[in-house]
Amino acid sequence: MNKKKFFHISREQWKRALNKVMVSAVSFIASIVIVGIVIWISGYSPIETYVSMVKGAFRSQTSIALVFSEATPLLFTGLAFAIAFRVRLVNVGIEGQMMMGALVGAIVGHFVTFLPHIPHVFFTMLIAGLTGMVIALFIGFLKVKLGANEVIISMMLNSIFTYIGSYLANGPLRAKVTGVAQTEIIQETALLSKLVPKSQLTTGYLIGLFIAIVLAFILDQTVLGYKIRIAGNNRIAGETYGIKATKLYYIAFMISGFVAALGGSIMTQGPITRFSDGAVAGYGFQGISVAALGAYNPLGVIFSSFLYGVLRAGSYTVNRTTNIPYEFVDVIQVMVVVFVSAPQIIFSVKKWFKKRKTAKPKHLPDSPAPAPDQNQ
Amino acid sequence: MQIVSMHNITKIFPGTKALDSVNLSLGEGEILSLLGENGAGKSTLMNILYGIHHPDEGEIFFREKQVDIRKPMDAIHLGICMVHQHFMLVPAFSILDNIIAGAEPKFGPLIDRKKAYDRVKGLIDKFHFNLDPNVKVSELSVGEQQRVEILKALYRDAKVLILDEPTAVLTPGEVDDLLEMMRNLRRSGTSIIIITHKLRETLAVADRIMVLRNGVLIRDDIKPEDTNIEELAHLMVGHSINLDLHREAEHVGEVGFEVRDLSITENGVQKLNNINFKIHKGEIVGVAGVEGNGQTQLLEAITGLASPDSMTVMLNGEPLTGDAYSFLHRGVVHVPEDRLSMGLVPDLSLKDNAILGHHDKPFAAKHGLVQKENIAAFTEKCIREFNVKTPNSDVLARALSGGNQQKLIMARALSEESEVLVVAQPTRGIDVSASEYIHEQIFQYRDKGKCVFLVSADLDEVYQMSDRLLVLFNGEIVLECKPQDYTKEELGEFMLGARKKESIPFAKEADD
Repeated sequence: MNKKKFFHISREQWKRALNKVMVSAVSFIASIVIVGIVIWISGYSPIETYVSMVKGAFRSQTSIALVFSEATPLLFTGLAFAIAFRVRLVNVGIEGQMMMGALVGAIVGHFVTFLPHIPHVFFTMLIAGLTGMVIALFIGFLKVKLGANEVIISMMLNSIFTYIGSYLANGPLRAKVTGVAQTEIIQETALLSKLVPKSQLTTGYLIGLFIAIVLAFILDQTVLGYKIRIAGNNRIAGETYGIKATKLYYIAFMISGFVAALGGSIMTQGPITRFSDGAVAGYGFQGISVAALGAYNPLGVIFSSFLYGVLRAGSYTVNRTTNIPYEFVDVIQVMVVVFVSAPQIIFSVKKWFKKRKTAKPKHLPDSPAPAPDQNQ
Repeated sequence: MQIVSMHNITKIFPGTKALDSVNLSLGEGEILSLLGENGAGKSTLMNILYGIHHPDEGEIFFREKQVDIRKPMDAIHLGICMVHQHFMLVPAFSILDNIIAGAEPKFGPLIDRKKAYDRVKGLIDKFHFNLDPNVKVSELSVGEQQRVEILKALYRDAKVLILDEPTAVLTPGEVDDLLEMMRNLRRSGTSIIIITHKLRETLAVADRIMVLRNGVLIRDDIKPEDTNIEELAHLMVGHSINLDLHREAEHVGEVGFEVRDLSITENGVQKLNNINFKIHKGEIVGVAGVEGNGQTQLLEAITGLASPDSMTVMLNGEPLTGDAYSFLHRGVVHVPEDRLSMGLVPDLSLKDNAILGHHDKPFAAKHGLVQKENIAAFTEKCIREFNVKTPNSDVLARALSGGNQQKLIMARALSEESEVLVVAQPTRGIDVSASEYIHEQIFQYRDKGKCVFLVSADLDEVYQMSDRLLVLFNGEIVLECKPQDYTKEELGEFMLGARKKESIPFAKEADD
């Protein structure tokens, strides 16, 4: 096939993509500004803070490695959330799925001793991923067959899994010589290789990139991706023409759960090396923000997870030099979700600017705003 | 005296001039009919009067005082009310509650229900609306719901009533009632603007007719007694139009599609009871009936979308079973009744929409990969052959006008080999030229020796298009006939259940 045509992007598609990038960019900038005001109220210069953050994030090879290693778990959970959201499913269960992935990764990584390096790495990831897939499938089953709300089910399951993990790390699987609740360190054969020596950055990040590209390919180039787009945009029209939404719910949930749990395992097989209580807590929820900023597009998620990586890595520097707590990055992430899921805010700001610019007010028809929070 | 006058109204939407210096005047107690195709600017003009849009240029006068109408509340305060095509009622509320919502008479912090009831009842009696204010809206027929909408306006002291396509969903009897109601309102001094494509009704009720075309006022001084349907159609479209649709079937062959023993129960209610019919090759079988008498269930059953209690479908003598997918792939193509919710995915491109249902045919998919070049070519073919007006095939489906959306859906259904076309409400809310085009395509399809099953709430349409007509009432086929054997008024009686015929001679004849 002609390669040029294969990746042909028309003007309309460009326009729509630019619009999405605009929404994300404005959301991000608006969040930065608002958090900047908070920093200013706390008595620091927001500009200096941000400048030192960015400088801190890019000052050395080690700090750049930190950016990417901070981005790694967010890349996985962001992808997991985004793919489910393409069929308008809100999989907040990625928090629990990732945790179970991390736990299963620790178990397989520690107790399987007969495999050589590479097979052991992949076997661990596979089993962890399948665990997440089964959990997500269970949520899908409850939704499709019993009409349960996937958000509530996932939230409940998150708690259950957190306590299961906590119990195992405190009880049966607790490491012998340690004071805290954690499992034994996994076998060296199950550890991912480091990309930068003495950093926390592993080949896990590359696996994340690979998965993002695969997902982007699926969405854009395959019939499965076409069906996902149809079912996610208009379920009824899909069913009228023989595309069963329930089947796609299962598939999207399975992919989502697999990717989330894989991310958990990659954390275990990378920087953490064992499962400990709360080690991967919070990444699942942050994934929502990552996905939203990435416009629920796998390639967009690569960028948004990188941006958050910069913020997180930089915030460590800021935290060392000032007493601004690095939790303010969480505030930025939350603000982004607010702005991205309410694009009307951005459109009205845009309108307001236009009105001020033109002497004669020009009334545009209501912008056809993408409404990603329109769930059925 | 003029109650409303609009001067030199111009409205520009990005890329188009929706209205170009249009004038409108409306006298007290006058019924003005606003005619025009979709996109002619009728709705824009009315939305400006109602405060939904703001004109770029021009002035509006109410009782000879200049007014600035910025939002619908401003219009309502002046006494300008609009009844939309899609009713805005709460089905679970009573008629009374729907009418007073937002303008409740108060007794301290409470609603003064007694006063509200008296006032609403008074209005109902005055205009002979024949409604009980305590009945829930969900129990009302479409015609009755429309009366509630009109009452809502009257309750708010409407001096000017704008009716947007009021007859689109009504049976002939209900249309007559509505026209009578409008005359009553006129007598009491209410001015009415009626937006419509239905020329017959315009002639029957209007005092004056105004025609818009492409945002330009063509004429606003037409008296119904001095004109006729052909002239109005000509003025609207700009060229003459063939209004007599009917075309004899050229060659009616053997039975191509047959449905037997179709019954459906939903939530304990029998929606369809023992439906049997056949469609011969080269024949259009139409279903007439008031909406809600089982048409939706019938369409869902024969396209595989619903699973009935009992049904046997034969396609070319072979049984057809399964879900929507199997029906589609055996050649039963479907143009669903609701364009935007069932027929299209508005937020996806025309290409994505064009292959909906064809998405795993060899031209569109190979080894699970979408064939973008073939899809683009297929979409271009659909656009070209069905004359869909669009800048390109990458725009979103929602950007097209209703008529072009429907053409795209028709193109999608007919562009691949098929045996049976099941088409519902093919021209609802679509302008005259697009309708004519779509009807022509349906006839051409029939004359290729295919079966067509047509359901429409527009009796004129089924009456003129069908070679054989089924009348559906309360989930049963109460009449099967050749349309020319009955008048529309007689059919209306069957549609309302006022007449029932026991023997169906034509059905027997068709068996041979």
